[in-house]
Amino acid sequence: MLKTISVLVDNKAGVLARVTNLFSRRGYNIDSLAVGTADRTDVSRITVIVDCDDRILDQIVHQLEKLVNVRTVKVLSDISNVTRELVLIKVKAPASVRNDIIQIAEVFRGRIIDISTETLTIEITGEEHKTTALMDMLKVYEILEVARTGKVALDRGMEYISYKDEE
Amino acid sequence: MNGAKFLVKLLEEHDVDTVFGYPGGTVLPVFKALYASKKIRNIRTSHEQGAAHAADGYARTSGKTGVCIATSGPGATNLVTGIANAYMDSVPVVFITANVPLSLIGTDSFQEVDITGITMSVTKHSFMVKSTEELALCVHEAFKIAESGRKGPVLIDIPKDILVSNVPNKFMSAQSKLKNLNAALPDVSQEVLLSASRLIDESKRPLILAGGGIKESNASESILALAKQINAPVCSSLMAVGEFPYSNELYVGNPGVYGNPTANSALEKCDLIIAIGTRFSNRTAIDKFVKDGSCKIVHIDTDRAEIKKIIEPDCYIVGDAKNTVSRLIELVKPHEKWFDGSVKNEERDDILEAVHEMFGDDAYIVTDVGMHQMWVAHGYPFEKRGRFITSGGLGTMGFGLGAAIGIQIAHPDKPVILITGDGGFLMDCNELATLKRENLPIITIVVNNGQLGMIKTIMNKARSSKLTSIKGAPRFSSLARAFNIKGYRVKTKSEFLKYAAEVNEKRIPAVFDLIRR
Ligand SMILES: Cc1ncc(C[n+]2csc(CCOP(=O)(O)OP(=O)(O)O)c2C)c(N)n1
Repeated sequence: MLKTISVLVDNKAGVLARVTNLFSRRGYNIDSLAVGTADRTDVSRITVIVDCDDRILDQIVHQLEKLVNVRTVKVLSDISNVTRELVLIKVKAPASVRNDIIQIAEVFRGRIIDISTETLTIEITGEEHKTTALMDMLKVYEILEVARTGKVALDRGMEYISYKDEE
Repeated sequence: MNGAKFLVKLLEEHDVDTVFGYPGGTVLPVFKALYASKKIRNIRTSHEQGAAHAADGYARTSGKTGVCIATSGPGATNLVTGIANAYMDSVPVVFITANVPLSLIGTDSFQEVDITGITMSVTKHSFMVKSTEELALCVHEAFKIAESGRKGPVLIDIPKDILVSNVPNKFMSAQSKLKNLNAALPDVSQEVLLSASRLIDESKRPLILAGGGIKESNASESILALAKQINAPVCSSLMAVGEFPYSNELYVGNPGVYGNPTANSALEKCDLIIAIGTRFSNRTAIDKFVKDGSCKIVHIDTDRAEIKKIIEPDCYIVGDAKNTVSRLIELVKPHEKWFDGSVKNEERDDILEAVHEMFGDDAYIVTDVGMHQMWVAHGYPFEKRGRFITSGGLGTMGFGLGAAIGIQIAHPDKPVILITGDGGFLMDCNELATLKRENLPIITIVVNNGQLGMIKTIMNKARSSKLTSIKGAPRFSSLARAFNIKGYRVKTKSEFLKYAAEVNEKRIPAVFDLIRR
């Protein structure tokens, strides 16, 4: 089952390597991983989505907590979180089909962020079913490149985590 | 003051009295500074692996953190087995390596390796010092991390330019921003203790399985008190062998593939395992007794990540072993005795008796890895805790002599006996030079069966003697003499006792080639 884990870590060289090393060495499967600074510049937030059962999930949380640079670990609620991923899609778009593609993008609330005589680049944000649906539609026109940010997520409402400072 | 001198000063501040290491071009400034130190003794071994195991043995028996220093490149890679060994057995050691100057890092320069990368999964943490400003903080944090919670090795890699450049006064103190490493250890609630005691009360045949974790918490006496209260046989994983007096009625030994029959028999029959400070290593082979669900489990450990890693317990307590057990004693009801048998009634080898007779309860008994290790773990009549030193988690052949050196340095007045195999001794006998140079009265007993005994047992059916024979090995007594150390070839208990008495009286090192073919 897919689980979303938020990890607040010290924003230091090598920390991401330690976290990913833990996953690979213990054989946990990463479905998606996204990293960026959090509300403080000395803190990074890693959002990792893993496919695992409850026992492995419990292991992942506690193994992560043992890493010196990991400050806070939380498994997000399955039912009450917001998850987003930004996807950039470059499609082959000669003049003959350009308008069709723009229309499709609009239906999905995608934005055209680059245009050339032969191509269009669309930016789309949302949950996975939305981005895949758009990709399916665009396949007809030959997709040239896709770049994804990886999923980021937060719990809804007053559920939130903060960085655990020094002792 | 340059970085190297400052590093040594920092080590002195951490009360380091001995470092084990081996020099090389890159790390030389550190050794220069060490020679100038009046507080720190520097033990140079024959090989970095020996130094790593020595720091490990020192840490296991002194209660202090070991320190081991090596040069960049091959010096650093030679430490890797020693680092992994300390990691698997949760031993606090700070490893310090020098690296090429910062400007050369990442260029595949001469004797450059990414040692923090190589050791990432076998250290608790590691530091690459990127500026003189960070040096103090890295050293302070390294000791703190190695020593807190579940202990383990930490590596500090220092580029050479930091060792030779001046450290301004303002960088000499450091403010740690480390997280609270003991935060994972909350107070144990009465509620969870009650649910554990309820399981114990309900069981008819409770058994205690203790692991290496009980050493740190000094829990063996409390565990025996609990065992007495509920009449439970006590068995220990390999890492906890020696923590319970061999003569104790309730001690049934070490279970597992090569285990004590008494321990295995108790495990087979019990209906509840109270597992304390053990990580259910596959070596203990516990799963075959619990898979069918006929046996319940209470798991007590300080490391939350050990809970449910291998076995899903019926009840678990994250807490200090001694504290938790002492509180449990207050709650549990007395039980009838259900298991008859103790390890002391098992058959024992006369040589082990002889060693005990000669060197007494205080002697540190170190082993290498193989059949001789099992032989000692199952048959040596340990009475005092903390006297059995072995490579449990990694099972490192070639651990023995280095470890013995570290122990003898920590305890100059105590007997240190290494019982090793002919295969294992071929891996670390280079350290005899260190014994000689430092004049360490370690007694080595090579159990000479002419084979890689443990491999032979695994391979018996295949009968591949080519793979397991030690043909070509020297006479170990002559080998010792080549190092100017006493060497004896012995076959019987009386021969052994005769020569052992001689060397014991003179407090000199000796190698006994114990023929067992
Ligand atoms: C460094 C290392 N290499 C290989 C092994 C695998 N191994 C385990 S026991 C053993 C045989 C040990 O032979 P010996 O030292 O003669 O001891 P014995 O089993 O005969 O007592 C081997 C090769 C190991 N544990 N460590």
